[in-house]
Amino acid sequence: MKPFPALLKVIFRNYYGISAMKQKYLVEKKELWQPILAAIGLGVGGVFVFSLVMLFANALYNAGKMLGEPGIVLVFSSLTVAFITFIFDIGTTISTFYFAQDNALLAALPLKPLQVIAARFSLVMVNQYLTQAVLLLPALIVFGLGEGLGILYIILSALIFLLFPALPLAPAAVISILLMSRTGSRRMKDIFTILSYVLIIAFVMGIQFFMQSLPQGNELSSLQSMIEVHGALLTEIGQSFPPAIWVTKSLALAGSGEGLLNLAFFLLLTASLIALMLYLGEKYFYRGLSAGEEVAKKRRLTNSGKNVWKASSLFKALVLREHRLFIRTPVFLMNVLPVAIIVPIFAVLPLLAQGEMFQFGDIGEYLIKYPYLKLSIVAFMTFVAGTLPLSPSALSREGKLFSLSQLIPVSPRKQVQAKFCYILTVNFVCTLPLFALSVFLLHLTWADTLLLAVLALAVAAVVTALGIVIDLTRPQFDWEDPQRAVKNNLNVLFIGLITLLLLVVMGGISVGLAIIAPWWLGYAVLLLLNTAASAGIYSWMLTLAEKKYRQYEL
Amino acid sequence: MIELIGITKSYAKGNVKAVDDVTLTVKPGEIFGFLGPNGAGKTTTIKIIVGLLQPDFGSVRVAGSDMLKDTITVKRSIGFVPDQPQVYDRLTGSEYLNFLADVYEVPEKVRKERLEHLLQLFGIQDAVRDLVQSYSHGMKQKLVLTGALLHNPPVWIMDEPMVGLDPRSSFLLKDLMAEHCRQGYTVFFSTHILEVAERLCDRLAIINKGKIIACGTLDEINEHHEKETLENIFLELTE
Repeated sequence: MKPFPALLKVIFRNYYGISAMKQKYLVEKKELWQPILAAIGLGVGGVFVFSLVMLFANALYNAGKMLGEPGIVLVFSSLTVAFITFIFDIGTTISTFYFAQDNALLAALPLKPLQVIAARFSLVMVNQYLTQAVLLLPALIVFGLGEGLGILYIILSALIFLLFPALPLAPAAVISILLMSRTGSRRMKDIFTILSYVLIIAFVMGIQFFMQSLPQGNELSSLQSMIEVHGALLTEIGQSFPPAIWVTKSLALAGSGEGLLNLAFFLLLTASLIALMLYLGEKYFYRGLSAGEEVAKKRRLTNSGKNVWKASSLFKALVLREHRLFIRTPVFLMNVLPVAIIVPIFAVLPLLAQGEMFQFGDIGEYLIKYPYLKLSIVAFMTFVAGTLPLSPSALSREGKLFSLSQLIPVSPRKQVQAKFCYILTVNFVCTLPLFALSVFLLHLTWADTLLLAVLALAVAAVVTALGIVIDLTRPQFDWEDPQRAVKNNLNVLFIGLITLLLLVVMGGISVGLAIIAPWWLGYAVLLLLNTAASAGIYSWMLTLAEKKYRQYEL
Repeated sequence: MIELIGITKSYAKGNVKAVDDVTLTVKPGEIFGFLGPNGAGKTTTIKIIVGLLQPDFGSVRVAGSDMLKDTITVKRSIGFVPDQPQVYDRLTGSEYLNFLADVYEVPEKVRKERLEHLLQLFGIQDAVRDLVQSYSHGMKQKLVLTGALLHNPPVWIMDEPMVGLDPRSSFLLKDLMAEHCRQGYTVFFSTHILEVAERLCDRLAIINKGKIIACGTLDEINEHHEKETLENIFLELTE
């Protein structure tokens, strides 16, 4: 095999863990339910999201058609894909190009930097197809069906679908290469990771605010009327990013001279951007790589008046380790903190957008009349705690360094106790903004606040202990990218599902209690039940830790 | 001080025996060299001694305690240096060392004296407040060494400890190992550098395909094999 195809093959195999998966699922035939469950989950979720976007694309197409501009759906979709990819993937390209674990190995091989860049760029491109399948494919389908276009349209659509990610990705890669050649360091990666998350949050919140501002029940027709009013504006925006227009015209006018010319523009621009990226990659890639090899700064111990070697208790040392590794790994931090900020905003935003702020006081009075309804605040808090990925990655986050935890002379029981306390605190703290908002808006009394807080803490303890039990049962230590320990970890999905199940069960018990018992008795029963459950699961977690810590072989 | 009795460890559902019925005794005051070709079972044996792997059969005793029954006591008596320096990248050197000092319960005064001595010895005192992710491979190795020795363990277990060290640090480590044994303690280390084993070790063992194929002082091994150098013996035995 020639060097480049061989490189491509090994990079894809390594990234997706294809060899490890083959060994596990096909040779050893272990945990076959995992890929099946993942495929079902992805399939169901994918079909759901795809259907929603199809509806949206159809509304856009109809609105455009009425204006005599049916191609507006393609302009809008390609613009969205280009914008999202460009903004969010600068961080991804930096990460994929410069912080891959095999860079040191590849740098020593007789490969040109542009070959390495091209291979890694292909990887980012392929990952991008998933986003495109959701955002661009529905528009292509809706437009093709609506206009009754034939085989040439399908071929051209496939070509554009395959090449389109390069258009925003190549400039993102160029920026990454130039940035890293000047200031290449691990800190830059962290900054971009945080920046990407902030942009994602802002984007999601913007979408949420936009959707909430549409009249309820008439979202699609409102969207159509909006396009009718602002249709020309969208075309103007499209003109400020000509490739969106080229793509649209090359498809809409497929087979004609103008269509061919627009396709040629698109292909030429894409090729030029890739060529620029490869040229800069050849020139600056290794400079950026070596800039990442920082040399320690000299900071003499004696110059700081602080006692560096301060002793702590064993428990404090374990908790501090958890805390430092959590807050200093941006991927971990940014998978947790935004939830605490976003959820309360999402809870209030729909009401604010509809000008229903005045009703909060009324709801407060309603709660006084029906005290059991206050439990919905606890349910909301539990849901937040269940979506946080900390407990189901309690051990996984340590990765290959878990062997250090196996080496130290501290019983697994104590180590897991420290993890539990720290994670429970973070989980509970993350639900506090939502709780504080409820207390403020619904005018809850101090007694209610305290009662609900205690109950929420008891349920959070159940969810936290269950999350750690799941991670003890199937930890994911083998990762290079910390994202795999939290976001791409099936344990997070499992604890989410279990939390939903728990909420259903607790909801059922609450309804039952509401029928037969006064609220104070119902609260007492629920508190007792959750305390007993958390104590039982906590004890199970500690026993399991003692057994499992010895068995992991890294 | 270290006693392995009939240790066996298999992988791939018992099809591959990484360590096959290994029995060894390392006495107090001994530097014990553990040699063998790549994949012979050295690292697996060492991981079993320090408690990172559980043997399928056999028992391990370190400093008079059984690893399976009295794990925490055994771990306290060991200072372990793995073949790859494994340190938390997101902690500073001092945070990492403080964490180890806390979990090994080293009093503040003792840790201060001992760490300042070790850090100066290995020449990393000026980098200790920086994040470990900024360290070179050699600096990480020195940090791991410092961490392994800071609680003054009676038994040192080291897997290729000289790899990544500069000549000066390597020399210092050998000196420390010799001094440790003069105090009546034990050093068990694996190496591929036969000259080091020849010069430093009181006794050594050669492992191949999971089995101990030679064990004793250099003279005792020489007697059996009638070769002049350890290199020749090693080559003959592991052929």
